[in-house]
Amino acid sequence: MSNEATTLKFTRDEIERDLIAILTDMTADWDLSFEGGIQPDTRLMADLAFESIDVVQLVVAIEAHVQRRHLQFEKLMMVDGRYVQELRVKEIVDFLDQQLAA
Amino acid sequence: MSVNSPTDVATDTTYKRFSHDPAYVQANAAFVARLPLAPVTRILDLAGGTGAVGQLMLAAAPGSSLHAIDLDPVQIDLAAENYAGLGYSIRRDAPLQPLPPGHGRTVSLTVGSATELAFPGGSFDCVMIANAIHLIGDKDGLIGSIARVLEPGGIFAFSSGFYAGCWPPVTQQVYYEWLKEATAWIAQHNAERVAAGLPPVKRVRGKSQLAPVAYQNRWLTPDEWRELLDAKGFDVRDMNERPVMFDHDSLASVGAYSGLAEAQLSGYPVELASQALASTAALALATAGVTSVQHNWIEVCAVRRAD
Repeated sequence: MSNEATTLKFTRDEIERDLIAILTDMTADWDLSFEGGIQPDTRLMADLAFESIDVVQLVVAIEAHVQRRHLQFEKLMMVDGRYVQELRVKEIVDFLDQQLAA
Repeated sequence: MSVNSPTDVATDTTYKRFSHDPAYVQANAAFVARLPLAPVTRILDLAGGTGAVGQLMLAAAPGSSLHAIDLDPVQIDLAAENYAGLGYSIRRDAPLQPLPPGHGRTVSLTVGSATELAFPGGSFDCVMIANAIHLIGDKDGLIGSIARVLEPGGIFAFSSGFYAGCWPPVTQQVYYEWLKEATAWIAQHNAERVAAGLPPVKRVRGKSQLAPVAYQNRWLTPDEWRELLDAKGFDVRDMNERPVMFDHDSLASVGAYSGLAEAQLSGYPVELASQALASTAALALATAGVTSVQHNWIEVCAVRRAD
């Protein structure tokens, strides 16, 4: 993703690359047994031991990075009226790809 | 430091403040009013908290005794104070034996777990758990234990604000924005600490007992609750979804409660998390352009079938 303030269009590859970078930075000092690096199939809860507040902090970091607020992440986090039990990196990428194109 | 700094304002992190919230009080009263309590003589109140709902149960079943259990000794202390203020006889650290019928206006209080019920089988004719069943991970085990301590024909009643369908879309948006604003509030608090030459308050991951059960457990739908209760030997007699409107004061009150703060902002000191949520409730509502949110509560009354 570009640092130019007015450039808010991103390719899917850029979104995936930068999301993985954000996640890598967030989890850098976490005591995880997870190995192999963060990939599109990486699971936030099972692999990265995310807690609910970690998801919120990820959302805040993403919104700061793309310079957009209120990206309606609740629609990603809640399905059929309840919290999803797991999220994969690629699901967030798909969501952002849709939201940032809107 | 900012006016909202935790160093400036002491926050009551018990359930006491929210237990007096008008919307919450009205919802509890309406829940209890639907229950057939007149013939009840021995009530078990699980996760009884400050006794806010237990008092309503006793008012509706004036000849009944009540045994309340809560994990938190602070809540038990508050319950003792509240029940004594209403003229009830209090038994603290009561033995896990139900009082026989005829001990109306007696409240027994025990610090303990709702999932480890050491009472003899068939000890009670009513078991109630108000707005806490979502915090218990092993619902199969819980319902099985309740079935054991209930006599055949006994009532199991619960209410909960956390089930599949509890939040309409606007509510989901407000609650998510609320968490984001609370997170930003803590970041600002830490920035002010650093500017003042103090170390930032660090979050300790993986320490919360409440966050996993409250938010990572699968919330049941009303139909799933019905199926589970049926499988454990209960006939559901009444199931209701009640829309409750929470305004800024309601959200600030419940946000200050340590149980919610620990679950929502897990890993931060509870006092700080409580203040962050209480301080940002109004901002979350304003961001969504609303003055209140609809939070649905499920209310269930089931009767234990004969063996």
